Amino acid sequence: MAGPRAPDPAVLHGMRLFAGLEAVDLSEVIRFAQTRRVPKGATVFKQGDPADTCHALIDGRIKMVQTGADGQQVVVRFIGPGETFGTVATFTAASFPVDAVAMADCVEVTWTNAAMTDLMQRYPRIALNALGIVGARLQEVQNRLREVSTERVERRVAHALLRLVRQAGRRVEGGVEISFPLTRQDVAEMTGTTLHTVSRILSAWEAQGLVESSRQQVMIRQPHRLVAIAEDMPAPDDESA
Amino acid sequence: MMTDPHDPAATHLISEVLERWPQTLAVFLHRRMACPGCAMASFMTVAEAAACYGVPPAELLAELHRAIGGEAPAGPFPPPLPHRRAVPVE
Repeated sequence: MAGPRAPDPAVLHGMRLFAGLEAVDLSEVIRFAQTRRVPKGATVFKQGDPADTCHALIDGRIKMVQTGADGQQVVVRFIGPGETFGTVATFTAASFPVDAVAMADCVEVTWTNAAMTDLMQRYPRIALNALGIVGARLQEVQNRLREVSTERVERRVAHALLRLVRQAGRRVEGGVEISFPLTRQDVAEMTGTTLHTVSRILSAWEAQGLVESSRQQVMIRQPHRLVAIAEDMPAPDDESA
Repeated sequence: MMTDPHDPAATHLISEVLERWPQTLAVFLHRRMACPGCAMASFMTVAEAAACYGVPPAELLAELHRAIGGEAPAGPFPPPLPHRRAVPVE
């Protein structure tokens, strides 16, 4: 059974991977592609599948779903018409990191890795574009990693304060006080980080009304919020719930 | 502080409730509250914990009472409010 007709090369306009190519080049690029329909609900590729095909969505909507080690599923991104998907994996990894699931009836074009390699050699601009795409993704991941490291330090400081609360906490007007002298330097030593980092974190928490810290005393004004930080729980929606 | 109460009240500390009536553990787990073992359990009342988790206090107290009466929620229980953030992928 014949597949759907090859789409107009103009559908590749706006795709970063093919930026800067002339119309005649785009016709060649399309010639190397397979076109296919993907019915609503079908899986285009599964997490862990070999990343051996580049995909571009022509029509429809795709969701990218990642399954964590604990079985938890998270939708990480939606793909609309005119976007490529799965390409970073083909350039960098052995397998796709997500499931791609059709949320509507879709039409997509795909290139095998061999076809894409051939196209890159004919049109080096495609390779340059791919480099830019991978570079942007790397930057995103680095930013996220920095965020996560920061979060980890915050959680360590929160855990340290909770340990101290267990040991020497006292309910007072306005919150829970750690009832022995505690300096920021002490907290830094407890958490394996610097005085600078602890000061930054405690100052930020003070500004949010979470703690009150003088030079030698720490008082926790919002006990549950501190626990939420330590245990990586979502912040309460409304303090007055 | 707690003389010999027959039932948990909104003003009781979470730790007191859990200690006096261990069967209430299931209620907190069912409601996805991280109270059991929490460092703040001995400093917060049932009413305060309910407010923090967005659980209507009257409902929570009713469930605690039922658990003490032998009708505790059955497991398995999901973990309390996991917070997941994904790394963006194409």
